[in-house]
Amino acid sequence: MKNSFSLIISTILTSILIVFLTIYSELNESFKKYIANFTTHHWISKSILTIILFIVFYLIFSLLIKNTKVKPKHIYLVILFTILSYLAILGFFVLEFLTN
Amino acid sequence: MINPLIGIHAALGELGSILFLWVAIELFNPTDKRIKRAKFVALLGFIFLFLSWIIGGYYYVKFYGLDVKPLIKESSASWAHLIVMETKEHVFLLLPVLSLLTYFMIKNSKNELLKNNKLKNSVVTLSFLIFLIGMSMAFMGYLISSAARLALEVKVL
Repeated sequence: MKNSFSLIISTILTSILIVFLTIYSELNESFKKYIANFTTHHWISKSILTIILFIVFYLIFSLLIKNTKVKPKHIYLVILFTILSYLAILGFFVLEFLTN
Repeated sequence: MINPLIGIHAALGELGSILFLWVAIELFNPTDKRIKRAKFVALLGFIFLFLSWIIGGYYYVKFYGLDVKPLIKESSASWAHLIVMETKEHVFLLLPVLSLLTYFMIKNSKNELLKNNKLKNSVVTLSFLIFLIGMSMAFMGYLISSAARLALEVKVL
């Protein structure tokens, strides 16, 4: 994985995907069952999807973007998205607990 | 019975996270030698976190969901599953991805890290964030284990 810029985009998109899979599967029971059917458990499916899509995003952006130099602001963007993803997941389950 | 998998999962996860604190410290004042060491430690950290993911996942699906989850959910500490475990199992997915990114950033930008102070600081911050998330996972694990013990004690008494 030599294209660091593609790795950064792939990491940000994967963190968004993790938040989406987590929240949407809790709000939509049929979606949760649908992704669980790929393996035996919804969490295993989410884990495998995380790996596959991280690699797929990397390969796509490696073909599209070449020779873009990584700047510090790109790494800070990853950090920002990571913190936001953490807070979104935690906040969602706190709200779910308090409202149910 | 105490399941050894939970201990192995926690040990690998905590060690993997602490290795990223090491990476951050190596990069504070980088030299050729320190960057080489940081690269190796980051790879080791990724491997530990990946193994923690596999072992923790196996325990979660095979044992936790069947034996521990119902116990906690029925207890007065149901929040330990509904908030803490749900958050932990999903936030953890970020860690292997972030650790792999850190490893490749060090591997691909060795010369840049020596010259560009701002880039070096951003990678240090990323490594430190991995360490902090890992420690928060360990704290969540402690809360879940405590809730399981409490639920079991109440059931026995």
